[in-house]
Amino acid sequence: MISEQELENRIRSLKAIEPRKEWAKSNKLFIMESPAPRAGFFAVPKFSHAYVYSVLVIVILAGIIMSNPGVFGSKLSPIVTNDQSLKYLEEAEQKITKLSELSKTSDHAEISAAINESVATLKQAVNSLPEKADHKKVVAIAAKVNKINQTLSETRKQLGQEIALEEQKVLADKVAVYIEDDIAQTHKQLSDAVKNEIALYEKMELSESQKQSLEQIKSDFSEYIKTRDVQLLQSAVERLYFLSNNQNQ
Amino acid sequence: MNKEHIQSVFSSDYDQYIQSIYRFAYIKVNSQYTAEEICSNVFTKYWQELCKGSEIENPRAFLYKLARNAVIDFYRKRGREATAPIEAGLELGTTPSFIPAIEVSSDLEQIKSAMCSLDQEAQNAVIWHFLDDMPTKEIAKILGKSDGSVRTMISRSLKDIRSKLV
Repeated sequence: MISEQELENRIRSLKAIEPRKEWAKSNKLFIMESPAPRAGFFAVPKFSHAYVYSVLVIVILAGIIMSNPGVFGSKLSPIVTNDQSLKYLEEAEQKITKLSELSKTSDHAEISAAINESVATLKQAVNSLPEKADHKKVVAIAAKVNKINQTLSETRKQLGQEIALEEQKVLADKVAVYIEDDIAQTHKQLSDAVKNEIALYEKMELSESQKQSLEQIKSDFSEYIKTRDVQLLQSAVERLYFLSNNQNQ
Repeated sequence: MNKEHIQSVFSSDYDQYIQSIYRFAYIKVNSQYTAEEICSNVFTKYWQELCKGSEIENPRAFLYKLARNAVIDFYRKRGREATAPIEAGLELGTTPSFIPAIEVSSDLEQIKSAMCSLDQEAQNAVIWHFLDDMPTKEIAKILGKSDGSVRTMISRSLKDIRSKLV
């Protein structure tokens, strides 16, 4: 058995582990020449992730709605100015959920009353939808409408009859318009942000690899402006994100 | 802090701690490439914090905290919990830079393998105390334990290591 002192000496022999000198030197220079993080859109990775994610959610929702052949073609209903849409959608969702539960029973009187209530609250919700909605509201409305659609489909199967078809079509149609507007608005904001970021990086002192990344970003962005191909904008955003986090592409 | 001051602080801390952080990472991950990657990430985060104007009271403790998290992330990504034996790094062809200086002796392999069998916290305490000459009080502060319990942990760890060095 070795002595305690000998053991400590042996452990201390691991002090000989050291990094390659050239690597340590170049790594230090590389870190120090990287741009300092700035407050703002790309400086907060969590936020930029959330932003990109929200764009994806909108695009996915738009895809789902647009791929449903039954939801287009209706004219929009008159819309009241007082925006209580989420409240009325919530009420409609509750009524339809209640109807869905009742549809599993054989209480015809209750079911009939519940159908009338559901259709009435759904009409009220449709009429309460505003002309325009901000991003947060669009996401909230789309989520509610999605839930209502699911519950309505289940209920129709249970009851064996078509209820609130027209109201559902108008709802879906309106949400599709909201999403189209929101995507256009999001692309515009994203495009402005990319433009500003490029201008800021152009004023900075960058390393060779960072300059190359910036050139690629500028090329992607300029092509996006010409073609409006969203993949190019996405590519520019991703490259900017990595540039801001010192991970060259 | 202005840019020159930030650069000066970073440069000084980098030179002072790069070897310790590299050694810590290397012992844990057993790969020169991964240890360099971890060091690079750790010091990049430190640089970014300085640039943001954050006041870092104890840079060594801060750097070790980042390094510990980076090592945990590495193993989480690899889906492994145990530290690899020393042979693993050598088999992968990652010849560590310290090899020519001290030649990998069976003694060194043994001591490293024995250390790797300790739990992560005990391993950290032994590395910091014997390789970085860190006082037990400072280790206690980093680990959020009392000075006494860190001393006991180190003492038990030595016992464990010794029992494996037969």
